[in-house]
Amino acid sequence: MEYLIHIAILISIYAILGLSLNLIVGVTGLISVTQVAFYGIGAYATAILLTSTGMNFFLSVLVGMIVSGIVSLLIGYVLSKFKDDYFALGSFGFNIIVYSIFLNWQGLTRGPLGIPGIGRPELFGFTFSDNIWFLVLSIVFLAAVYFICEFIVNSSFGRVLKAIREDEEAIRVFGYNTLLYKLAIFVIGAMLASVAGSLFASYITFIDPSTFTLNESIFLLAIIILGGLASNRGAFIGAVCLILLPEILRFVGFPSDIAAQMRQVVYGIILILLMLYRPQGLVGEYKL
Amino acid sequence: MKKTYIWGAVAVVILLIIGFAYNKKVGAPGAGGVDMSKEPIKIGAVVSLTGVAASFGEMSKYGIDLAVDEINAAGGVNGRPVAVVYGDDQTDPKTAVGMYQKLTSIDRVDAIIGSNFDFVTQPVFALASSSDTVVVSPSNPRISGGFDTNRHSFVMMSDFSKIVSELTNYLAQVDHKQLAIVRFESVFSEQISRTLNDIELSLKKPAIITETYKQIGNNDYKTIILKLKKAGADIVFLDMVATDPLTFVNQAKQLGYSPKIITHAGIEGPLAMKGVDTSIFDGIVVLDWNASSDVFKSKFEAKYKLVPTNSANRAYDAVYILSKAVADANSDKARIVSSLESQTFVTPNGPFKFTPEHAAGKTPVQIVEIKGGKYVLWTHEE
Repeated sequence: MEYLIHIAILISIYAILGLSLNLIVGVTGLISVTQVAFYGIGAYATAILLTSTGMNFFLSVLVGMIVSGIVSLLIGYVLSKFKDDYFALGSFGFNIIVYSIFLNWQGLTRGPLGIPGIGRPELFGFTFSDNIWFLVLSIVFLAAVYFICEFIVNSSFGRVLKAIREDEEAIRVFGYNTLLYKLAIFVIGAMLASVAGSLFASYITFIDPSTFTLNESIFLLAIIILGGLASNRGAFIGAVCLILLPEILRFVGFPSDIAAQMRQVVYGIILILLMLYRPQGLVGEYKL
Repeated sequence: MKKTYIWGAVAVVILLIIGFAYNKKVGAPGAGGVDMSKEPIKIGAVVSLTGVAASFGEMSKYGIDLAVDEINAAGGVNGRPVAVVYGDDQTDPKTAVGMYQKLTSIDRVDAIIGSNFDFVTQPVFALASSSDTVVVSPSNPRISGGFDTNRHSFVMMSDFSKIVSELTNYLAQVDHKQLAIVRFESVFSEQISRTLNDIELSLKKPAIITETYKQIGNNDYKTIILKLKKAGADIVFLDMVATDPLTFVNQAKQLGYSPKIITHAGIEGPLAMKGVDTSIFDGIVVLDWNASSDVFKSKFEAKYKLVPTNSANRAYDAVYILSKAVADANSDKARIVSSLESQTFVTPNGPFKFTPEHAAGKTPVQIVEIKGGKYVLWTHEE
């Protein structure tokens, strides 16, 4: 049971990340790999505030969101100068900068030593120490994020974002300030990713920079591409599939000497097959 | 398109069936004189079989498998066979946590061995403190305030400062002016640095020069080498693993810098690499904390045609220790802890007892020198 709860918690966290990235990549068409940086900022904000000041988890989530929001506003403005592939490259560069800060600002992040002993959330004297309660909390956060994303996608704001994705020049002709829209969704996406980071830090109770590498960014992109771009349902399904699949493969009885390696090969093959036969993802409406 | 899906689904089902069938054959406790009808002692192993610590995880697995085969061939422990269930943590903290959860809640193991690197083991230890399943890490020493154990976690190595202090005699006997350390940043390397500095100050030498780097592999040490050369460091401790010592030694040679080099058991990886001209390591002195008994070494080499490295001996010992503790406690998890705390265990590597801090009392250490790609016991030459 604990194992299933663990998987469900990870699915919730990665679904939040997928949903937040989907707003930027799927809905708006900005190929960004920065999400893991904001995920990290949220995680470090919670880890530092909980371990050094004893701040309440929920307040730390808020602080993480504000920090991510400010950083994303600055970075988003710089990245708005780029388009398409150059935007992706620029976001990749930002990722490296943030990773380097996590690694080198030892006075704050403890660098490669990581931050151990991060506490679990507390609310009105109740501690979410049991994983089942942490799962409930994660689901509440996921539901809130899903609701926000659905609201955005179905709003007039969301329709403008989709129009930017399809033809930015055309929407500009109609008098829309596309820079403002892109910046707004970039900031919202970053703040939501930060929530996932806070949950992750409090759940695992230890973080170090190795969790927030480019590999994780690629994994997040894979979640929304597999699930289906521009679909909130797709982001959720993508997270379920990509978290669940390697766990299911653990129960396939490969010869023990090569089991771990075989699992990764099969995992890769399944992803390639899925992309070959469902390039728009499982429930997607848009192809990169 | 529909046909493709059906064929795809059929292929997956066939794969699963073959897999499960094969698993039945290889997953059972080893054959031998053991009564298979008795409830097995189930040991879980959270090891890094993939990712950057894969070489450590593989060696742990070899050590564990060897111990399980031996114990079962000898009739088990208190007549109970030993079975091991592996979980690859992919050198990733969140996967390691998942593996701990899987092994305890799905596989229902009695105790766990794991994991290899500190940043992967830390969250597992944290989880164990609020759980009831004991974890024993084979590859991590204890560092007070840096890598601590708790009521349900144990390490198979002693306090790290004790291990590094074994270099005192060596440094006292070797003529040198300035010691430097080039280290990969971690709690362990901080401890090495602190202890080496203390040793040097006690020997009335200047404080050590410290140079750090932050990632394993793909490093360029030229700047560091030139700085050390300029500072006149005539003896350099390399706290490195994977290909890093090889890169450092090569680049130092290119830049005409030839200090006396000391390193630790992390050199085992590059020494064992295929295609590496190991003569480049000749003369390097190694603080070898993976020293195994001759009995273990010969058994390991006979079975795997490999030299045991990266804590294989301690993973092997951990199986003997945990299976005895579990058998004596009759799989009662609360009693397993007290059994581990109170007993002196006998393993083929020798007797073993945990300290009150849940670490080994002493880690056998030897100072060796690399000659012709092999370890030779270091002796002082006047």
